Amino acid sequence: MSTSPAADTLVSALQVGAELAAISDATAWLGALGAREGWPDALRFGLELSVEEALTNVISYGFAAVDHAPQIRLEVYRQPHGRVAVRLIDNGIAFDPTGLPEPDPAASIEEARIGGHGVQLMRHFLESLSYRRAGGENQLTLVAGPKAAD
Amino acid sequence: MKMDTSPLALDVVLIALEGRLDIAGAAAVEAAFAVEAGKARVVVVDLSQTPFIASIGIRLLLANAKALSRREGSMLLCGCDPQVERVLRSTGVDQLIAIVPTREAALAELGGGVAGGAG
Repeated sequence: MSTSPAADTLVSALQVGAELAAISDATAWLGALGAREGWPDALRFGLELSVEEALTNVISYGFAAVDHAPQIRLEVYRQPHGRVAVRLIDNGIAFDPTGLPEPDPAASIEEARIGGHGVQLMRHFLESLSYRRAGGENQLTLVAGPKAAD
Repeated sequence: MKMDTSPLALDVVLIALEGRLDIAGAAAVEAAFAVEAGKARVVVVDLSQTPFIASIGIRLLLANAKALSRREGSMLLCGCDPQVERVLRSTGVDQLIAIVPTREAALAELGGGVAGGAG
């Protein structure tokens, strides 16, 4: 995907610790950034939610079998037309969440799967979710738009 | 995240959650929620003070609703923030757990069925 500097402006970035306790700090940081940037509530909610889900995956599964030091970084970009892009970069095992299937809708509570809703939520709340593996890193790009409330 | 439990009717417990139902919030209330839900036949979860829910929160609600269902019980959700409700609808939770506007509506929904225990 294109990330031409003319179109996208880096607003802020954050290093995230590879422990679950760091996730709430990261979403709080994102929420405060959104308040400063004047993001509409629905856009801010969608990004906080999507980043929470993406970080949960990376921190829970990304570093189980690696022996190098974990590096996780969030970059937030202002884009044209009120869009915001968040790039999540980590050096964990290669993992493309965009390839995960949607859970089948359950007919009853007895049959319902209690997990597997993270990527479904990201797809619903984002305009786009894209992945690439480059230089030993996962790069997940989450784009939310001002019409996120629709 | 905080959790407050109070009886709403015979065998009906109200569990009010306050705070973000994210990975930290769910971890904070998970054990107590299961204990309280385990004592009741119907659990009404008041989400009016819950501005955020992630998939870990969905997991908490579905796991407990499933356990209640096995005991012929049920769960209802009330007071949902619009964004929280969007999370629940987009994942199909609303098809599995009833969402009603208020705790009064939850009681009305239950009608006489709780005390009567018919069926």
